[in-house]
Amino acid sequence: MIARIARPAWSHWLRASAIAIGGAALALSVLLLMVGRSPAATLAAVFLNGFGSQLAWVETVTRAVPLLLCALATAIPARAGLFNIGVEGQFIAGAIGATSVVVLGPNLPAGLMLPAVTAAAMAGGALWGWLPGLLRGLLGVSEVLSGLMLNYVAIFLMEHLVHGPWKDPHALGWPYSIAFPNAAVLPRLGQTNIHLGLLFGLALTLAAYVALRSTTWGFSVRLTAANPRLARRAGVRVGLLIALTMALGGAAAALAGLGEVSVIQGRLRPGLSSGLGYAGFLVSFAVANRFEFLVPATLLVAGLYTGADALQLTAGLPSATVDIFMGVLFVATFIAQEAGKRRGDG
Amino acid sequence: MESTDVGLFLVSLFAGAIRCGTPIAFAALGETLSEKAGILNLGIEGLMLVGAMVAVAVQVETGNLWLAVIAAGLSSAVLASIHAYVAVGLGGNQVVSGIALSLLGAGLSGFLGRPYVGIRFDGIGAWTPPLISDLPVVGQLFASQDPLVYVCVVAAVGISLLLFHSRFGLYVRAAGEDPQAAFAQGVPVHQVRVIAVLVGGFFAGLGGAHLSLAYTHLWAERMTAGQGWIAAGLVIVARWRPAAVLAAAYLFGGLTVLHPRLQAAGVSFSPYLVSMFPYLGAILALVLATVASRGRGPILPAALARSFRGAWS
Repeated sequence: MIARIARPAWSHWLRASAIAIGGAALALSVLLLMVGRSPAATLAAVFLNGFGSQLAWVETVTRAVPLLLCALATAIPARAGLFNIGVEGQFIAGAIGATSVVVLGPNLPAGLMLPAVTAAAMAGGALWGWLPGLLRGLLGVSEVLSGLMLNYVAIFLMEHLVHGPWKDPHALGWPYSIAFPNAAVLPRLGQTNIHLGLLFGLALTLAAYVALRSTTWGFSVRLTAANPRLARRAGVRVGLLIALTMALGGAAAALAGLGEVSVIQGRLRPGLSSGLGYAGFLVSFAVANRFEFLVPATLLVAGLYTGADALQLTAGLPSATVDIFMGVLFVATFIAQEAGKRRGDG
Repeated sequence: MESTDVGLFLVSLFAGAIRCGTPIAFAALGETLSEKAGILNLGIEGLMLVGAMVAVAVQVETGNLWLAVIAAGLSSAVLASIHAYVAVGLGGNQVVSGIALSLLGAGLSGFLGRPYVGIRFDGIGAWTPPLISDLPVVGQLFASQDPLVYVCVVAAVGISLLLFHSRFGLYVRAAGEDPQAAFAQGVPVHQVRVIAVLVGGFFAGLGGAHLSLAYTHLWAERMTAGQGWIAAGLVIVARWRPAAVLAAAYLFGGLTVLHPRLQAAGVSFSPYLVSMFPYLGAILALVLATVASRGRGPILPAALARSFRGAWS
């Protein structure tokens, strides 16, 4: 029983990752050879474009910020044994919450704008995470299925708002909200699009790491994941804890949504997330939801996406190339992890 | 004259609903089988995309529609075998594996399908089976649909019979309710679950094939646009019953085709709020099913998404 609860050791995780990355590179090489490209040159170009210059790093970090927040949104509930598949919806709910302040309270004093926008975003995301958490904690309803459905409720709510009540009156035909005023945009680093969300993400990662290891609350979370019945008998209010970790995850995802809507897009518009929530979910599970690995893993994945985007422009390869690579990478990671666990060296 | 106009409108609406709901119905039927065996497959979206792409590719290259449909189903089943390997073979995490499969399927279909984007081809045309058009009402709705629509109805009946009136169906349900007990009684749990996932994948591929060959008559990257996730929701709404899955898919198809028609008739409402209904309905159905499962017999498969690590035979 103890062995099943214990997480894989460092060496195991490193070996699984190495096998996975090797496997993904191999699979992509085969595909590239099929369409008559040089695998070595292509892969080298991806890494160079993702990590090879200061400009590349700025772009990579910009992409890593929302990914890190979405991975956190997965990892926090996951350490309590939950699958927060609703990150995508929580991300959008956060963006909707932030926009609600801009649309409904445009005359707020400039100094209050940013705190209000941030609080509204986190409230929106937390609500979207709390709902499946509540259903799970109270009634035992699968948080996977309800979270998945809530993603689409959020998407269509956003579509409704930008096509209808929140539509920018000056936007002829185009479905989007009014622009975020400067006072409502997260501060950013110099001329880049790296925003305050980076600090939120790093601080939250550190806090979650410490809280899980060395607080009573962290112990209740770990106990709930290992054995909810035992946790309940030990006095942990399991239902409350489940709803709380889900709400916390939702708030983290909402910060990513806030950054995206205020800094990157500048207004609420359809297609805001395009799968960031699912990507964050996969990244988190690829590192077995361990907070200490979240930052390097999100940087790696963000860099690969950046590199592949450049590849699309220069080498004329479709954007789907990177999806294949990521898909194989994640599948291979999970296979390597599970196979390692089965061999008993976890 | 007035009443015949309304009648014609309704017939065309329902016929459109059936046509539009069929891809989702195929995928949801496959998912029902898989979930009944206890394996949640969230890769449907990717499986449908691969099916849609392969169907177009084979049709363009060979011109043989039935070959294209079969190839679509088989290639999705091959992709689903990855999920079967992780979820059953390794007893791994079904949620994570399914999501990764969706990403992989979208990537593969986008990459390999690039030569076929925007290519025109002869898709599946209308066909009225003998006798059908003589039936009242049903005849009008189902006349001059494409053959895959009928295949889908037959598949729903077949899966229903298989699940509830055959030994294999009993094995499937046992594997999905209590794999340990089933295994102790001699049910080959792993084998049954693998078959359910592969057949489920095959049906998702057929759904994709219907979408590209019979409904849109073209291939476009990510053309399923979330239909795979809708299918997962409709399985819940239908409470894991194949006949209800078919009805739910048609209802959803109806919602989709209703909107432009009402708009053309001058009725205005937010299509986005209407689009929310199936998902809110799924959440409600899920809550009801979970609560009811605790009191009277189970409605949702009790061992859904739970891995079983017993021996293979």
